[in-house]
Amino acid sequence: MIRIFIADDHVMFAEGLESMLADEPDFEICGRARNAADTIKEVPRLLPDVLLLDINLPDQSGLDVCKKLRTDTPDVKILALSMHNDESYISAMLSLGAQGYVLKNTGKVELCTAIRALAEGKTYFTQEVTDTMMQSLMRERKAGVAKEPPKISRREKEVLKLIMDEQTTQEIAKHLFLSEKTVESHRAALLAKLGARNTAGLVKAALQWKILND
Amino acid sequence: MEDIKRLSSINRLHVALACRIGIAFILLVTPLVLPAQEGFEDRLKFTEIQDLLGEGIAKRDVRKQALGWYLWAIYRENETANRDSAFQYLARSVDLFAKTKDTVAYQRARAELATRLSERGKADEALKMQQEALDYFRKTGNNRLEILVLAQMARVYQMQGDTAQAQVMKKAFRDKGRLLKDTLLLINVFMDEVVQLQASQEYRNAISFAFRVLELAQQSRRQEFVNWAEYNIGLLYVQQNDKQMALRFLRRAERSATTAYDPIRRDVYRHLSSIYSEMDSLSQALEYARRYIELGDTLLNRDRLAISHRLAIQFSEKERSREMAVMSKEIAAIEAAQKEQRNFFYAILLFFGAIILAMFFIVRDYRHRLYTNRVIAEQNEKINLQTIQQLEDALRIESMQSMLEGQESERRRVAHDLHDSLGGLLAVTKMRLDNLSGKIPELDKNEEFGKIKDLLDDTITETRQISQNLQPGSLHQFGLMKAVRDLTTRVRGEGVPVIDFQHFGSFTDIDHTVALNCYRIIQELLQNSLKHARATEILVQLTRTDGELALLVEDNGVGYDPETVKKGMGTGNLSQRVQFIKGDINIQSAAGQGTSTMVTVPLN
Repeated sequence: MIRIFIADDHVMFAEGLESMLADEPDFEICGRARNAADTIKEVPRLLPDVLLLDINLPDQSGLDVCKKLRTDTPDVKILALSMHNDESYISAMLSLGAQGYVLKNTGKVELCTAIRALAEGKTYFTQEVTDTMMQSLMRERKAGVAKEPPKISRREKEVLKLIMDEQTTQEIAKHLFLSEKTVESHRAALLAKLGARNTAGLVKAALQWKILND
Repeated sequence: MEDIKRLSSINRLHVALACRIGIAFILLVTPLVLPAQEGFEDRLKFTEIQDLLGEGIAKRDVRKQALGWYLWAIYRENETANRDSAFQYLARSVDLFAKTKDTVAYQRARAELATRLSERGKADEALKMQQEALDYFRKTGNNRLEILVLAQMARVYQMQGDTAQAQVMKKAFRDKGRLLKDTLLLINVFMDEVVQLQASQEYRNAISFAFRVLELAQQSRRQEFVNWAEYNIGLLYVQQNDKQMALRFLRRAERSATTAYDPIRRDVYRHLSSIYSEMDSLSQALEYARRYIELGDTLLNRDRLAISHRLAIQFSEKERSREMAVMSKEIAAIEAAQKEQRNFFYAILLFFGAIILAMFFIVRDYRHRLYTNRVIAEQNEKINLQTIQQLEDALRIESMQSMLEGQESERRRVAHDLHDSLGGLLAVTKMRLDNLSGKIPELDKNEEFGKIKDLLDDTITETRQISQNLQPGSLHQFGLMKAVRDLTTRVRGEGVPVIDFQHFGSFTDIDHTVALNCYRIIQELLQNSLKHARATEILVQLTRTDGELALLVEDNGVGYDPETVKKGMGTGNLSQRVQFIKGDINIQSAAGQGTSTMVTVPLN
């Protein structure tokens, strides 16, 4: 028997969820809470196997609840149940100790699978959530570690060209009709992107990646 | 007439030496053959020369001055035999003629000067100057002046003792003289021939030339030449020992002598006396001897008189010099008066110049003041306009702020409702539908039921999207960077451009309003690129430096002309937001070259 605690402020949703899960013979709904405070209070007392946690709770965020329970009751598996399919929420929940993340529109079968997976000590993510994570990992390139040339904006290329022409920030700003601060921004971005520490490094990296060749 | 006097006086002094008579003739012929050149031939009186000089100086007429000094030199020389001062006056004349560019006059005066120069032992130089003058007159075909110079050169050579060269000159002079049909000149030429022939003892030829002189003199009624010719013929017959002819012509010469006290007359008496004594006509000889002695005494007396006369002239010369000095003073006074007048004129000119200058400055100053006033007025107006602009801006920002705030709170409310109420309901619906299909297995086989379930899934996804767009929950929760990353991650699917998201620096401390607006700006830029650019790649970049936040959205799409699209609704809203957070927007785009939009936001 898997004991389940539901934390969701949306009454109708919670009731629907409960009645649906109640149909499953190995599930037992041990408790319900409509806000973060009640959840934090009830869960350590009831000690469910799985906590279905909505991120959007009225008093505190689900993230805070997750963080708190992670230390208070580390044995309680937390399945984030959210409308948010954003990487920031997903990775935040995961880093705070959630073992699974499903979207609220997930079908009954998948939800049950997720609960069971968590109960067995596994993790579970909906396909959509996995996609989001992959997408995010792919798109964010860490500065200086990429094996392929970093993506340099056209503006940065202009600035880089002028830097390689030994022009000062002032001259570049005048030349491109930009403020000196903005030129400094470009320069900072270039330094970060090319993993350089100074102008010499910039030039070296620019030549290495053949950035200005096209 | 003075020349003739001079001729006779010099004749008297050198009468015994025929060749010296020739030189004397050449000397004296000079003024006779002077051709008609304006001014030079005038034998002016002392006062006239004075007037000429005075006028020349007063009117600054250089030619008149030059001519004046020339005439003055000749005059003085004739009057005082003071060749020294004549030399100086001639030198002055030459200098002045040089200024007039009257080469003829210049060369003439110079040749004259040269003759005086040779007397001072500089014959070579003198001859050089005269040769120059000669060449010039030859070149210009001025025969008369050529003759003049030739005569002068002959004189110089003679004085040098170079008789051969003097003869050459004289011959040239004679040849030239014959060419000119001038009786007086011819007389002079023939007289010269006579003297030459006499010197070389060719008496017969000399007599024939003397007859020609006589003929011409009679034709032109020049008594002095008639006398000279008769005397010389007589003398030449004496040489020939033809006493009858000699007697005849000497008696004629006695009659034709122009004055009672004439040196020729005296010589005539002497020769007549000796002829009569040779003819043993002693009473006649005695008579002429007596006349000769009487006349000799008279002439001696006259010489004395002449000397005293010359002394008187020299004395009066001093007077004249004094007068000249006075004249010079007067001239100086006239010049001073003129100078004063000129100075007065300059003063007047200066005065008016100063007035005009002053007026110019006044006008300019006035205009400058007008201009300054106008500029100040313009600047005031500009400042006023700026103030108004600033007030308007402040008002607009204020209204924009409340508008944006209202918009945001409304969005938040709607997002919340969508997310929580509608989203929840939809989720429950989905769940119950799932539950139902689990209980009634046939339902899953129903196509219509499946479509309803798909539709419901889409509705839920769509609702979530709308909600997220309305209220970026993650912005509040995780900050700008993660919210923007979520934003870029949300764009996925078939035919959607590859979106690169890069961020540099920390974004956690950024003010929520700024962050929200930045988020909205990026959202809108990204939306524009996705909707219009038909790009395959989009770069979204956040850069944080000390004082600035730079947002960049760059695509490789079709691009557009920023000028034409600027007024569009999307960018209008965009620029409002940028303005609201005091940022700067910079759009680089051109057809076919993609769009690069950068917004820089100052951070405090």
